Amino acid sequence: MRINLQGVGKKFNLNFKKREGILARLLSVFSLSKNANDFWVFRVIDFTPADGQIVGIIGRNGSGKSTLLRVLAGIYQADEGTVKLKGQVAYLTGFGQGLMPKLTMRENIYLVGSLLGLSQKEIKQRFVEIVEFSELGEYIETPVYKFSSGMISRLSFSTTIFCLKHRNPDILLIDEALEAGTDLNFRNKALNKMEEILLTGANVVLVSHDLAMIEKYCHDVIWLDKGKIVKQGQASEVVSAYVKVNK
Amino acid sequence: MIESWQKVSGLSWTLAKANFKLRTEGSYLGILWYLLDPVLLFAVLIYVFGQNLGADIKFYPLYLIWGLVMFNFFTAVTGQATSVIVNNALFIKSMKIRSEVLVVSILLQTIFSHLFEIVVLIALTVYFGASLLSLLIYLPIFIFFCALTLGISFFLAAFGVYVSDLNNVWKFFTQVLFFATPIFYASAKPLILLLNPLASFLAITRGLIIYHEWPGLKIISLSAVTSILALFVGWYLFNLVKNKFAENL
Repeated sequence: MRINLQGVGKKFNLNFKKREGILARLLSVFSLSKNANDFWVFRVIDFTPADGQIVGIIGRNGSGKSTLLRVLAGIYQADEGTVKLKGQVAYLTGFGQGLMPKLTMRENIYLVGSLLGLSQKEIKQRFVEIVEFSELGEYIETPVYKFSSGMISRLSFSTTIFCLKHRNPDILLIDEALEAGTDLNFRNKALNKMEEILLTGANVVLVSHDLAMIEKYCHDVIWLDKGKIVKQGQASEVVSAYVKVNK
Repeated sequence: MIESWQKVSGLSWTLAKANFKLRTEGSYLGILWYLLDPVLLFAVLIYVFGQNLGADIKFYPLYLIWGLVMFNFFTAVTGQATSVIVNNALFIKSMKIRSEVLVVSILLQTIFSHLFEIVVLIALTVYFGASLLSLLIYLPIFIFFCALTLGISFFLAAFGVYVSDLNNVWKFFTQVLFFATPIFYASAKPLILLLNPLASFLAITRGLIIYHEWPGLKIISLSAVTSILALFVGWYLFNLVKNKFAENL
């Protein structure tokens, strides 16, 4: 098993004061009232999908889907239970992270590529493919702030996807990031590419509100509500149960 | 361990390059802005103190510029470090990125700018007829100086996640430090050398490069040990809390 979660829980302290001034910090250290107001986002989550499975996570806003994914990605640390992951992990939440508008398209591809964990040499190998796929070959040396939003979507989607493909992760965590906001022509292309990545045999965990998408790609679906697993099992079953309740 | 360091340095390098380009792009004054600070201060201090305070110091302009340039490097890196994690909160929350990369990239980026200061230093050295060869000695000194700067930056970067006005506090602190360090005046008080690592670094650099004097094994080993220790302590503290950054931002 590449993913093994046993009794995992994550809490946040609601009384936590974010980045106070240094004086306020000192005062609060010395003040006596230190009541932690813990809020458990989720508790006792057991989760061990079979290798190569695509698992969907659905649920209402605030049910803990994204937090769970962040715990899986190692961005948040679990407060109880054990999280064991084997192999390379890639985490994807939307496209366009790390783009710097003042840099050219070429520089941005290198920048985003290395943020995604590729070396300069590896990006160089993928560079032509990325440019070709984005269909923005004429604008390689243009600063990105001159791009339209559609062009930016194309650029970031192409860069992210090809870098992901190159890294060939064993575990792929996707948070609401299947579609790029582009025209129909590119969207179909992008979906096909995305499908390619989804079907490479990696363990995929997919958080989405797009139930049609979930039903299409996922073997198993977990329905989270208020931090608890309501139902877990075959995609179509769980999705229809979820739809019934939320009608 | 080695592989992870390779990744850290590779990504830091790319980020530093990108940020350096951003700063210089659009205005050729980009680097000049960085140079302007010590050079202007240099002009003012030479004008004010050149005749009295500096009269007793041999090669006072060289003495002064070395002090300013090294101090400028230190404040540039540490000053940015206080808010670097917060400024990149979006990255840290949405990517599994090694946050130490952000700190190291500040150091690299400032080293690029520092190179331009070295050019100014070379020009001044030639102008005053001092030996250019001795400038080579700066390289090993600078490596230890970077270790000290990086160590303090790691500490400040981590601390800045929890305290919102750290950059103001640190700005004030460096201002005090400017006067507590023999930059424009001469001081050989051993206590200051012992307490202020910047002072001992300056003493070593000036001694070796300007005056061709051996500063003594005691002060050299003290500086080396302090800087390595600072790096390890800073790195250790940073690693202690870095997994909590995403939640606290």
